[in-house]
Amino acid sequence: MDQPAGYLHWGFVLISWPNLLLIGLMVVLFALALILPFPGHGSATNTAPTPPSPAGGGGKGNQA
Amino acid sequence: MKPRVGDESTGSWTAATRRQLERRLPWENLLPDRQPFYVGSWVYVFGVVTIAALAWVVLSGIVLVAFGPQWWHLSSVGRFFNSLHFWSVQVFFVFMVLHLWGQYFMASWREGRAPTWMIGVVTFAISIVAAFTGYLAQQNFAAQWIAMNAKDAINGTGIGGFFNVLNFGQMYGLHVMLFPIAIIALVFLHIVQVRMRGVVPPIGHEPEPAVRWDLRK
Repeated sequence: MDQPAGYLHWGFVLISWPNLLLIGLMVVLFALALILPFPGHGSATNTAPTPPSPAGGGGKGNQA
Repeated sequence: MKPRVGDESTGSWTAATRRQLERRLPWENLLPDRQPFYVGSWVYVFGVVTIAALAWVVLSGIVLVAFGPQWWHLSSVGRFFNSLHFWSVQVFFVFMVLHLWGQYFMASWREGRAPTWMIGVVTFAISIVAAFTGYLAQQNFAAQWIAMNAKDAINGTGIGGFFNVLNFGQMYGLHVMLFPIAIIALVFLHIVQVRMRGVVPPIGHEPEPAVRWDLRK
């Protein structure tokens, strides 16, 4: 841990491996957030969207 | 809420401000108990996690300020809070960027939400400077190394005269007072903006214009 981090040097790209790993993990996390179903909710495809009311709630709303 | 009938202060600026706030920020919007169905997605969680991380950043920072550099470098409890502050900042930035990606690909500036987007952008920018001053305020060799290297770069921008990275008092003051107040205020405004206009719907799920929820009028 007291040593400098290793670097990826590819053309004009210069980035440390820990930074590259973190960015990769963030991309994976973002993809999982799009794919994984939210607990307590069916898929959006079988739930007809309803317009939100002036109070901010939709007809098919969930308890916040 | 309707304007009060017979209100003698109708012409005053305080009454006008009150009526404007009551019209634009009804309690049903500020503290809703129901949300549209599309909020049931992990993408909408990123912003909340960012706020939770900010709470930990502020709380751990208050403890660090109270006990000082010697405590956070030399005692085990101090090191724990130092690490807590550092890692909560990492979580704060990771989830702020994930929140940014999610809102960018949803084009969250739609339908009058440009102020919400812009406040978020400014908050992000100030957060970066706040984190930078945090590195300078560590009171260790790393802080000195960063400050010495940053001095030329900051001078190159032309602001080195009044933003002196070698001035610990200035960097520490900015880090523990001015920037946290600015970030907390901007995050508060960001949330109020979201409450005013509602959570942005996914592209393709916008409500019909006839029933569109629009508080701009």
